[in-house]
Amino acid sequence: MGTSRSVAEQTHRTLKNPGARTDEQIIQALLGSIPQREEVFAYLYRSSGWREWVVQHVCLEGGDEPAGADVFQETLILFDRNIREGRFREDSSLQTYFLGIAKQYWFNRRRSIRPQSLPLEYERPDHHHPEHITLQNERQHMINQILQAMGEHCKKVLELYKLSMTNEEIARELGLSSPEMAKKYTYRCREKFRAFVLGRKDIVEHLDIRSYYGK
Amino acid sequence: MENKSPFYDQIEAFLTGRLTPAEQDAMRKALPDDPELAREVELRRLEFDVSESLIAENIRQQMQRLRSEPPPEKPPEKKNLVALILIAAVLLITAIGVYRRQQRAPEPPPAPAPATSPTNPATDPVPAAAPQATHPPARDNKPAPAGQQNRYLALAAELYQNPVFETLRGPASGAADPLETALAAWQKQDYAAVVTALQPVAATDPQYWRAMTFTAHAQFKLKRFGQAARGFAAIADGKIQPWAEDADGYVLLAMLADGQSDTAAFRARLEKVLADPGHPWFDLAGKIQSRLPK
Repeated sequence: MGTSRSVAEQTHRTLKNPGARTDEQIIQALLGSIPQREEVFAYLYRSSGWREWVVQHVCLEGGDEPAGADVFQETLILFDRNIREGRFREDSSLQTYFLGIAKQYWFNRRRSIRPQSLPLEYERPDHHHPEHITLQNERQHMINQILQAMGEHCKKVLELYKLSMTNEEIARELGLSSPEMAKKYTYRCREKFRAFVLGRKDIVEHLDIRSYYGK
Repeated sequence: MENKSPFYDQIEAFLTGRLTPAEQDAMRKALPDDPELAREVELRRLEFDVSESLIAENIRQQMQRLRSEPPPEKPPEKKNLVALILIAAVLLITAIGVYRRQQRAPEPPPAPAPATSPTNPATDPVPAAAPQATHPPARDNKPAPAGQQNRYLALAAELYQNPVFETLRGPASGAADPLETALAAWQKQDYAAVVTALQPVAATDPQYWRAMTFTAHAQFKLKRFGQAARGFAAIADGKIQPWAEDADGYVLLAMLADGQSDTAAFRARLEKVLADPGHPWFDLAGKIQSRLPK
């Protein structure tokens, strides 16, 4: 049922906008190479109509245009990660899924801006309790410290590795001479990350792995 | 590092929820009993977060670049579109009117013409001995379709260049030289007289290709575009340089003006010129192509 609705939505959208991409094309691009990803982000920003919808929603719900642009950007980040990690279950169209994330994101952000009664249609995620937010902020601070220590090349390697790029693609992106070099480089960078984290008592404590530290 | 249980290979799948519910449950149960596994899970989770933070930062940077782009020009609304179409139609009609008036206006005088030796002119505008293989079909008597044809006619007139008449002169000069007579008639814009003057030039005459070229230009001026096209095509296909290469461009213009732009012969000739970036009419062919419907 969800699939047939999704097909009908896509057909309607394609008829309205012949340049529109299908859900499958968007997903494939997000799982593809760096240029493919950048191209689909540009498409979603410029031509999908999703950004306009998000900005309009935010403006109607007490925000302004810059806030709407920010919500679109952060939604895109969450959406991209969910797609890559296989969290999209295909029980709605991608557009509906994206807009759902945006609504949830804006709702949560508004709650932290100005407490007010909650509309029924929204979920109440526990991870936005103040305690959880504090932990998140601490973790972000820790991540920033790790990033400072990693060096530009290793940061790029970690990013490409997480995007499931092959050794060939990593070699091409970094200008390395061979996929074998990319493999070695990736291993060295991941070891560097590991050594840095295990060498920092405060980080280990934060991760609650101090009982294993020093073993 | 030595892995002690199969769970070590499944950490990534566990963190991204890609294990089956049963495997996910088994992993969750194993963690409290296996501190090293728990440490590996937390380290990998942190590595994920660090990597995702980099990915997110790249997306933010791209969004920032996109936001700094100038906004795209909006397509005209329907009302404006109608107004634009009306303006374009008025401009087109005006342009055609101006073009036709210009056609009636006197031509700039050509260079002075010394006489050349007389020869036997051919009677046909395109001499019978000229190659016939790819000559365009005659269309002179067909009425031109109003809109598109007028546009192509205007385009052909815009791109047409008067030939350099010095190259049409023969080595000798004399009072009875048909080329000299033709040049004098050209000066007076008496293009019919040009054709008549050159008719006696035979295919065996050394002036033959000059006479052919001159005749084809006169036919073009007389708006006998079909005849002009056949004349220029004969010269182009004769492969006698420099006449042949020069005729490649004019045959395109004559065919265009004659309403043959949709024919295979026209396309073939256009593509032939476009395939040779060193061709003297390469730019002209590009201009024609850019103005034709895709």
